[in-house]
Amino acid sequence: MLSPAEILDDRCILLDLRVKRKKDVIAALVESLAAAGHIANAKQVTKNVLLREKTASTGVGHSAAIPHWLSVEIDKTVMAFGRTVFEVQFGAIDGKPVRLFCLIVGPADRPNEHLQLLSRLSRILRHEECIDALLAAEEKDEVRRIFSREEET
Amino acid sequence: MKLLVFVLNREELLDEVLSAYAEAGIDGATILDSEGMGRFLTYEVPLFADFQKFMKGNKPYNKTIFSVVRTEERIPRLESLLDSICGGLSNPGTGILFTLPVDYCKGLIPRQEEEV
Repeated sequence: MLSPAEILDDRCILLDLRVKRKKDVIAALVESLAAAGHIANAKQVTKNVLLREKTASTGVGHSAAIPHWLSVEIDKTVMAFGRTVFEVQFGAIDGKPVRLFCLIVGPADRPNEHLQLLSRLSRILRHEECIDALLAAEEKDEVRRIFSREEET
Repeated sequence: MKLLVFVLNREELLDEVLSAYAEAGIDGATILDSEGMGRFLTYEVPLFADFQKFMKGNKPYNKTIFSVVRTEERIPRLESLLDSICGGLSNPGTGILFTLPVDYCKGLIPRQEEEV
């Protein structure tokens, strides 16, 4: 099973995003994936992730959201983590704003793998301690350690 | 004595399926309305909403039929009838049939001996 801690790349951990709108958060995360060479067409991926958000918000509550997309253009799952300085209105299921974002783009021919990773992240992001730790993390390594610790529970 | 469970994906076949139970000598059962995990996740949990496209061809709702069967020889007879009605249970999207051993049962009366 895919491990968030293992697929998270330092270049795709953004701890002080100064954006306030859903589309800007997603664009920033997608651009980090593109800059790291994980995806090719940032503009199109951003558009697709936003389109997906129109179906139903991926805000899972507890200040967290897991925007995602299945793409035919990649052959392995990639992830970006973002924490915003400001609260972002994301249409989350608890109606509260979001500050923590785990963006996932997975290969279209492996929906089961994608589903497993989403389920795993949504479980992890229900833990109050994990949310508090992610909100307080000062280093990128710390973010990976938090995910790693939570995966073991 | 076995607990026989059949998850019937094609609800429209329920009357034929229950006739098959009767023909096989199982004349009592309890029928529950049920739904697949895929339907629930994709329609009720917003995070998984985009997986609806992978549900094409799957039946969102189904029927789950429980029976306590004392005469186990009736089960293969029923299986053969169900295979024929549902178009082969080995084919995806038709149904799932399984049994579990029952080591105790109270409440069955002779006339309803197969009923849960």
